[in-house]
Amino acid sequence: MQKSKKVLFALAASLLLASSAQAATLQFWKFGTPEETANKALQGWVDQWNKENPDTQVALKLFPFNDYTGPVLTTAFASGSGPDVFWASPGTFLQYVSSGVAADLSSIFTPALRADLLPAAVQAVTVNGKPYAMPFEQEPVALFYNKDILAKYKIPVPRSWNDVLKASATLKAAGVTPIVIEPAPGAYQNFTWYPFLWQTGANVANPSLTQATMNSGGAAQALDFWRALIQRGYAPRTASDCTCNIGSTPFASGKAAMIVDGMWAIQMLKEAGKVNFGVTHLPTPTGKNPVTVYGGWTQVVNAKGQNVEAAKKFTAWMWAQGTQRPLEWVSKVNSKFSPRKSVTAAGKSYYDQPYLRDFRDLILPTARAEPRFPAEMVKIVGDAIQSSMFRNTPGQVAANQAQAQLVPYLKTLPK
Amino acid sequence: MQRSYPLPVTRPHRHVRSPGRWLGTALVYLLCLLVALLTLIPLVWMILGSLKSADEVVAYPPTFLPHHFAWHNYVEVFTTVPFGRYILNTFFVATSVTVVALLFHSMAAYALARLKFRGRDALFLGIVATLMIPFSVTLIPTFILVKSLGWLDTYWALIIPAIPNAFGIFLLRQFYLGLPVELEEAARLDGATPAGIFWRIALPMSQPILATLATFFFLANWNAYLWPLIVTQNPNMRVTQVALAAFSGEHSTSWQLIMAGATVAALPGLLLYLFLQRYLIEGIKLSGLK
Repeated sequence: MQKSKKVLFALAASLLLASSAQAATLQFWKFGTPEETANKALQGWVDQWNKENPDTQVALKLFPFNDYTGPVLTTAFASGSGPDVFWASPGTFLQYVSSGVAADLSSIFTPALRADLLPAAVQAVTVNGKPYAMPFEQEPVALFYNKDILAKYKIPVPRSWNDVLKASATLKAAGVTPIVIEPAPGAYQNFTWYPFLWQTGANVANPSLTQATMNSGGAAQALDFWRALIQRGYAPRTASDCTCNIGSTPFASGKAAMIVDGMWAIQMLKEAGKVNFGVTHLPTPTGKNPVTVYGGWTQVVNAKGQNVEAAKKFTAWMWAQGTQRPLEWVSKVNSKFSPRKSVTAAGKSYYDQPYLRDFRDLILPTARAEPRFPAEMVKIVGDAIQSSMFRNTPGQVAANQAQAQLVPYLKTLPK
Repeated sequence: MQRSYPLPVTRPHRHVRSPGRWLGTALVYLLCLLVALLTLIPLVWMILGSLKSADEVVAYPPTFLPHHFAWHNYVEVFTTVPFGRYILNTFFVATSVTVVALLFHSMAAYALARLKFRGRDALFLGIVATLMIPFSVTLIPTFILVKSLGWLDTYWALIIPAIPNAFGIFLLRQFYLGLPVELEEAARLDGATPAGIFWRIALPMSQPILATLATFFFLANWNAYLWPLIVTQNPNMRVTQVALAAFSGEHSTSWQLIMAGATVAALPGLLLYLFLQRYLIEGIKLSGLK
């Protein structure tokens, strides 16, 4: 009996030793294909990490973009097999926090890192005073304009909504598409509309998402502005692809004078080389200050994973230590900004280039983080935008309808 | 005296039609032709799109015919990703599911149609009732099951859960109910066992319905997206539809490559349909389903 117990104990001990000797493998999930430059760079970093950390290996898994935040992550987390590290969008962030999936990253948000990060970036990933994601990129939205078209019709660069409407009337009469805004409903349309709302001083809801504020006059003004652009025929009612793909828009082929688009568009326009373009801040209501929005993914650690501490360490290694990797990500691999001041400073020569300089000096200082609204809120706001644009619903009516839906919905959110 | 017989009343021959009737038929044919052309538009648009450059495929206003035929899109689809591997994966999965499903479905359907055993009708009702459960409801439980079996990222995960299908059992059972019982009784008198009757009489006679189901199963699995998407993480295990979706990125979509890939991916389905369309239509008529 004693002997058999000893054998069992020895077996159990050897099994434990064997399991502890095995390297832990962190699952790191994001979207895209291995052939993309961005993913090649990430794979390079993962390979470097794996070389330096034989005890904690990382496996990068890529999924099609359109279904990454939907079926892929949802099924994985619902079945308890979610990745250890993954990228989340602002629209899904709160869902991961409230479901307990997102781990508290306070331990890697050192005082030095907090001091280095822009306050808006910290705010965007903070819930009840704790950070639940690592911000690593910012992509602000701006007004791109065709210098040649504006010069031809002697139109100054529009600064206000009235300037845009006045310029649009001239351009339309001349047979030029005045401006492109996103016509399709969805998170991207809302994303590009929020700055127009914020410029009026209004918002969809209060910061704690306990009170809807869409019925303020500002929301009606912003809705009416986009309604006018569509109803007066100044902006196309359809698009062959998301206008975030600027190459698919009439602006990229020199047929439109202006477009509301993001920083990523610089690279596409420069590569195409067809348009002599300029960049400025989004037009504002007369007398108001410019405000814009920035998007960007954040990295989240799965609190229910097997290797939470290792996943945090890996996340800190990627984005919080030194400036080399974060700068490579925002300048060589992509055209973005880092939310870390030290990274932007280290990339001074890069950001001193044309267009990027405009974004750094003119646009980024006015940028707010993309709201962390759940999908239901995105739909309610999106319905109001669509109703104004395409059913010609007066802004105040559409805003009131949105308000009536937001009030009961916000009561269902966890406090 | 010669009797006179009334002359038989001759009706106009069927092929002699009045101008009004002729016009009606012509209109019906014209309408059918129009509908057929409309049906072809997406296919033609896909093929033309696959031959346009990256700029032209999203050009505004859109062009119908490509300015320059970009045949290299087809090369690019196979060189930027291992698309050949994805086609082989999809072919293996779709064929395996079809063959195994037809075998088991026909056996189950024959048993439900011909054998008498307690609870048979309740069992059949239970099988048919599963048609009411949407896939989204069973997705996560099936995923957990497949994961606990250690099948993630394997062909097992792609093939086994796709085999059970109440529609196939239902369709085959209805077909077997319509087979003349006399044939089976004669075989039984000659000493054939139920299994022998199934293999030698029922199965050979069910070729049209099996061909119909084979087309349905093959096409459904050839075009499968959601399930393969979530059970495969290794790029080498991807199927064509998932691979095509990967050409769509965050800020840009390679439509020309998607169109080229979709054209290649559509070919086996089109060929299968051309060869088996007679059975397919017959099957729809037999079952009253589509």
